[in-house]
Amino acid sequence: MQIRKVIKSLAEGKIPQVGYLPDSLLDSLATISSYRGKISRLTSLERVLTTIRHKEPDRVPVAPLANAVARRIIGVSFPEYSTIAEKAADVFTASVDFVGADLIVTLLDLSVEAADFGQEIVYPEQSTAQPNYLNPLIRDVDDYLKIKSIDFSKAKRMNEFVKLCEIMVNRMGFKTLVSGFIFGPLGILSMMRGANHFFKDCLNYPKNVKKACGAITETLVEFAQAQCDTGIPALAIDTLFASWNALPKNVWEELEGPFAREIAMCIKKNGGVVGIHNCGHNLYFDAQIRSMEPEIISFAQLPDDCKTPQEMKARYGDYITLVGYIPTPILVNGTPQQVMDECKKQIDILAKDGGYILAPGCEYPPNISLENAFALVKAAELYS
Amino acid sequence: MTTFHPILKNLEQAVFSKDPDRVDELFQDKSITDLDHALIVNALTQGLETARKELGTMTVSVAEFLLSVDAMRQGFEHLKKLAPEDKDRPKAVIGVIKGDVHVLGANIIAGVMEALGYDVKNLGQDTDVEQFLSELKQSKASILGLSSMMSTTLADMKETIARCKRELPNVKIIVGGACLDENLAKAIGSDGYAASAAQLPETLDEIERLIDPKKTSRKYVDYDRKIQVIESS
Repeated sequence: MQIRKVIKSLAEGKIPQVGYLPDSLLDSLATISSYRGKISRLTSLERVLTTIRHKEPDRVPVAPLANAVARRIIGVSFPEYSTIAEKAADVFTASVDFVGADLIVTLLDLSVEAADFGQEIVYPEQSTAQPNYLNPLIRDVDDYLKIKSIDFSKAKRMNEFVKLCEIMVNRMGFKTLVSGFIFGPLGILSMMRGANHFFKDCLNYPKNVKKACGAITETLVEFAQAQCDTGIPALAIDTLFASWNALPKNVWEELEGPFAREIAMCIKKNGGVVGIHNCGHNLYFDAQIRSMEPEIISFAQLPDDCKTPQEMKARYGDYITLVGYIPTPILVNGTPQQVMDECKKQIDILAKDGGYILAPGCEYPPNISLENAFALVKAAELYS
Repeated sequence: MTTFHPILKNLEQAVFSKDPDRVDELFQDKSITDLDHALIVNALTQGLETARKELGTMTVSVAEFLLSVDAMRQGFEHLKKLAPEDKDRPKAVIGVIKGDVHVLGANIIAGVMEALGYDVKNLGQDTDVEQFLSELKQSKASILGLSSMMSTTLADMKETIARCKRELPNVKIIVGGACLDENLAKAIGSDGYAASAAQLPETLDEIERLIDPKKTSRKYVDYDRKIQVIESS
């Protein structure tokens, strides 16, 4: 049955769900690609699949995460990008065609799910969509108990996002690996409450928060399933609150850990690759790995149990593919040469034996020039 | 009156252990009225300082630190009933740049600045340059703190800094936020950068030296010198 699904994806010109293939086959394919990469150029797909099996490809794969910034290439407004799947797909396509990418993550903004739960969202012309925190859906701690799962068929923005995934999977085919995206339940609740109150509620009223997480997760599992149904081979879960600049580790494990796991298991059941994105400081790699058993972690800062990138590579690099972590300030303020120097430094430490994708720590800043995105791609070509 | 009165130690502990109910309870104790206002302030701010240091070593998370800030503020509210508010504190205005709605960082910084003895006006989210200028002029604040989490608002931050410097050249500006680092903070024209609340006292020391190199510290707690009394300027 699973092999049939793999064959069907291949016949449709899509990347198959690698989770359906036996590890031994994937390792053999990665080994062959790794050898072939020494004498010839690999495709983006081969490059990414080789690195996530912890073999060295021809060069480091690169994911510039030049998402919203690529609106400017084709003249799409922020509100159109956030709300119209076809427009967003054109933006992501322009990003791949113009800047280049071995992996794209269809992160639009963090308000997609909260909007469908009823949070008022504002859509500025010059910035990413965001909640109107002056009108939060959750006004006091009892409101958490009123949060219910929603009828997914009526979830306008999530369904538009699923459409985006579908367009991109079909459009990219074998060219570039496309990952879906889902914001974790704590992040969504924070959008509906405002971080200041929400952080404190997590400590003072954990039962209320957890109940709301449960209700939201029912919908998120449907959202994950719908993304997987498009044939998307990987899906990133954003668990921002699993970091020191949010909650204590034990509190995160109690509040979001089990729900993040439900989402991750849905992805795995569909043969998808589970990724985590977390741009917090001192993030909890260990707790997130226990919860979601991911193959990939995209990060902006070192995990709380590692003092250096070398230590992170030694501790996690043989079973987690590390994605990152060029700092946003360097992308905003640095010259292309400075960006490339930083890329080289990270490649030198993290690329050995595969398991590494060069990327910004978070989405490429949407309102700056694209020249440093080009620098990222060039660095991957030059320094691997 | 002694620095080692048990209520003081308990207040400090209540703030550190993020327990506003305990702060309330301690202020119900009649013996607190015999204590010097300054020592009570000192106990509350020392509690937050201990939490801030643990924030710096990542032993305390941001969520926990916020609760300590609340407990300290609870104590300040009680103090207002016991003694007239100190009107002579150095003034600061802070806020989040227009277009950005992430107030958490600014709220934390406001709490730490209050603990350091500043009279802080926090303008909150989505604040435009006119609001900053108006508040600075009205309050005669010498420090402006600008926060932005999103890179999309950096151009506005740069413009806000330029405009404030043009109209109020004596006001010193510190910036912070997830999208910034020290180099970028300099590049957009700020006078100082605080990576986090943990680093804030050092940044404020530098800023105050820019304002007046000879000025004596007016902080409630002079952490560097470990003196537990209020100094006068």
